[in-house]
Amino acid sequence: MAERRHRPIGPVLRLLPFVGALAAGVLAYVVAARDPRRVVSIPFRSPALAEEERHWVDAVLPPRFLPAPMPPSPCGYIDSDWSDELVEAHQYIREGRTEDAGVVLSRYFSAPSGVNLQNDVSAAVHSASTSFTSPSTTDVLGAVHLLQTWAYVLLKDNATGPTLWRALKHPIGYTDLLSRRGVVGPLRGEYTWSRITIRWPGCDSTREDLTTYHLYNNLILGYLKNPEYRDSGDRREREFARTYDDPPDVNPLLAVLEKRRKEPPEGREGWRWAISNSERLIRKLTLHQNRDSLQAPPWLAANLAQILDSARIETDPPVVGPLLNQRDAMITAAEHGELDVAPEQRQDLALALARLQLLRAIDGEGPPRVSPWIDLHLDSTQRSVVQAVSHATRWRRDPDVLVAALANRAPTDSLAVQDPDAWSAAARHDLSRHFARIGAAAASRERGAWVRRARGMLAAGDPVPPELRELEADKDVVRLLQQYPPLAFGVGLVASFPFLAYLAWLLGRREALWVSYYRIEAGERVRQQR
Amino acid sequence: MSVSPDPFASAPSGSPPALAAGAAVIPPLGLNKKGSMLAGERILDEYKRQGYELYLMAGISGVGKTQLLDAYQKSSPYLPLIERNATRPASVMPTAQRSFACYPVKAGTRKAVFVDASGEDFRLLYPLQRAARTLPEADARLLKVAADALKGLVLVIDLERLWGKPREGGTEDPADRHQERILAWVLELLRWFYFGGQYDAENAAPFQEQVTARVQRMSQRQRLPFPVQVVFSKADRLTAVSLPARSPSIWARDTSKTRTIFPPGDHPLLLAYHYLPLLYEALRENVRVFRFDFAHSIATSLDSGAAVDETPCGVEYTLSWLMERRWGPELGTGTWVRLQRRLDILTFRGRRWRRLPEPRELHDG
Repeated sequence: MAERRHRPIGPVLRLLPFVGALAAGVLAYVVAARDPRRVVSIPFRSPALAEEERHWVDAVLPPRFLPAPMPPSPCGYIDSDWSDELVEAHQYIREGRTEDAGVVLSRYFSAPSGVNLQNDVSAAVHSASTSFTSPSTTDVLGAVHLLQTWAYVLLKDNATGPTLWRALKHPIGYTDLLSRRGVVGPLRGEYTWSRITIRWPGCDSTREDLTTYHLYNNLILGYLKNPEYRDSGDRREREFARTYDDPPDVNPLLAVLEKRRKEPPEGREGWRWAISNSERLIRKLTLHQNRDSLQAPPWLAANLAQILDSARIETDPPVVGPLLNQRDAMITAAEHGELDVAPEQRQDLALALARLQLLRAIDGEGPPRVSPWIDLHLDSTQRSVVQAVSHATRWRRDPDVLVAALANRAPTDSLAVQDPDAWSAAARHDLSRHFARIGAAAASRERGAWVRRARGMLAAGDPVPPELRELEADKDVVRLLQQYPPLAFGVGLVASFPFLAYLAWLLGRREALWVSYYRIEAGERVRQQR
Repeated sequence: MSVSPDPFASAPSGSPPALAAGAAVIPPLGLNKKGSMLAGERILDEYKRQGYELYLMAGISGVGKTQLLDAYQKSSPYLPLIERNATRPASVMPTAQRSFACYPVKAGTRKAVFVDASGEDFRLLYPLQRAARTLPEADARLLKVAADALKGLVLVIDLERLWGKPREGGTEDPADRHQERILAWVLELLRWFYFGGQYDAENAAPFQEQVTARVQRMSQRQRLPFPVQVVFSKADRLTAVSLPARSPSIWARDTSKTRTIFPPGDHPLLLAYHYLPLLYEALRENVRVFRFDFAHSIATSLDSGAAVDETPCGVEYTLSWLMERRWGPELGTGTWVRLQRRLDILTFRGRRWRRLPEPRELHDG
């Protein structure tokens, strides 16, 4: 058969599809293999584990808020129609007979003398008068101490209602009157959130002196014990309004309040009022003090620390860090005031601090620092939880240690908690999430290994973390090709060939318009003849 | 030009030629005039039905259409995939005006038929040879069928008869000097038919004017989509043909200088661009893809006219280009020319668009 003759095509066009496709394949291979992604250190976060460990703590060490100590009795005799009742109530309280104290105080405030006292002082408060005579300063002081004592009793008895709020709020107003008169406070007209000592005239200053911190502490406690608290819209607006605008890293509780004040007065309204008062207190406390050496009464610091901790789930992630920092500062202040609490309050303080220390450890601030004096007040169950949190937080500092702990069941079995399996399941979940996050950030070539590792962490029945599901569902073609560079070569080769063949054909058609086949054939003849 | 007798007044001698296997069944020639018109349509329809691609070859009589097709078919040693399928006896005589010559060829798995568009059946294409003030219905139907089925068109032009001295001893065909116009008309007419041109018998304007007016109103999108190959036939004789003098321009340095054509060295597209402006513009207006080239079926002596070399040159590739498969959309020739002109300006070769460059030597590659 004679040789077939094709229309002459230049060598470049003839080779274009093949060479071009090869070049495209090589280019695709190089680009795919050059995945610039590198696994950077991704911190191991274990929110499921933290939540599980918090359950342990909540089960044995629930939140425990401390009422402010009872105010002191007058150091001398005071000629008034209320001093006997006050002293009697104090006596009953010291003996542990708070019910009897309540009866005494209730009887007094129901009697005309008690009613008149309250009415006179309230009228003086509302009149903005600075007169020292009606009512007398002693009477005002007496009213403050009486109501504060009564508030102490009512809080102990978990009372509620108008009586409680009168006992909690009126002393604050009366103190403002005293401040206007210049009787109390470092400065005339100082805001009552500042630490204003309300001392009996003529008495020496003692550590147990009544201060506005006592008043606000108990007021906050009252709000916390009464989540259904409601007030008028105007009062609410005045309570939540602020004239300052601190940034969240300085005043995180303000950010929480701003977020919550827009909510309608439903649900945990008492908690919102507690947050509002706590914010003012903390702001005053931290305004002129070094955070590392904060000074505050231990019962107040412990309460504020627990309130700050309770706000962490109510706020946006950027605010959580400053919130916990402030909480830790309060914990430190509370621990330093160990000796400043009455003996009957030491256990409550110890348990509150134990809880706070465990929460701090769970948040990743190191092992739980339970002081010996705190440990003395813990029972065996609580101690075993402290031990369990200590182990668990140590393991989850390093994911590899955690994996080893899970693999070797003995350590996890040693967690003397109610449901160690739930903790193991949480550990598997967090580890799976962690490996999935690494896989998402890793080079495409390594993704498959991380996906397998994340999958391997889960046991039958474990829920699949959304990060892993997302990673497995990711069908990004580019990443698939980067995972298998030879595949990228093949795809580049196959995908580019038709286009390059078409381009070569197109350029060939263009060339055909320009060449002269007559000339080509004539040239061939001439060469043959030679 | 002599008036031809009725082309189908008598039957041709001899029996119809044997058909090669796979060829279309073609009605025997020799029918009466009316019958041959119908036969033309039937022929084309039959080819279409059999899956043949239709290519038309147009040019005034005597330009060498038949010789080119014969030469194309005969290139069997070089084109083993093309079978010899002749519907008429192989002959180098010019096509008689009364025959309907089809040249089926096979290219790979495809079948093509080249139709020699001459004779009575295609008189509409040549108004100077056959005046067409009206539109005979049968002619129109045939051309309509042809236009609808066309896959390519070959326009053959004899530059020797266009520019050369008249043949000695022979009367000059008035069509010789009007080949450009004739071929331009061929393009217009085919475009008119292709895009559904309707003859308005009640319109006082002659048929040609109607066609021209309608074509001028067509948009650029309505250009003939199939490729057109323009062949400068009898290229072996063109070395004795001088290029016509061009109109002087104030920028031309030397307008009187002219030379002879050198087909192996001259660029056919530039030749047409500079010296066949009417044809070039007609192609640009009516067709998307077109190409120019030289060709000869046999080389003859310039003096005696005797055959010197019976090997064709430029025929095979030229006609193969027409049949080449199109693998997708392509740019039109006009677009490629525009791009090339801009490129030539950037590469300092723009001069060749102002006048035809000197031909290259054959050994220049």
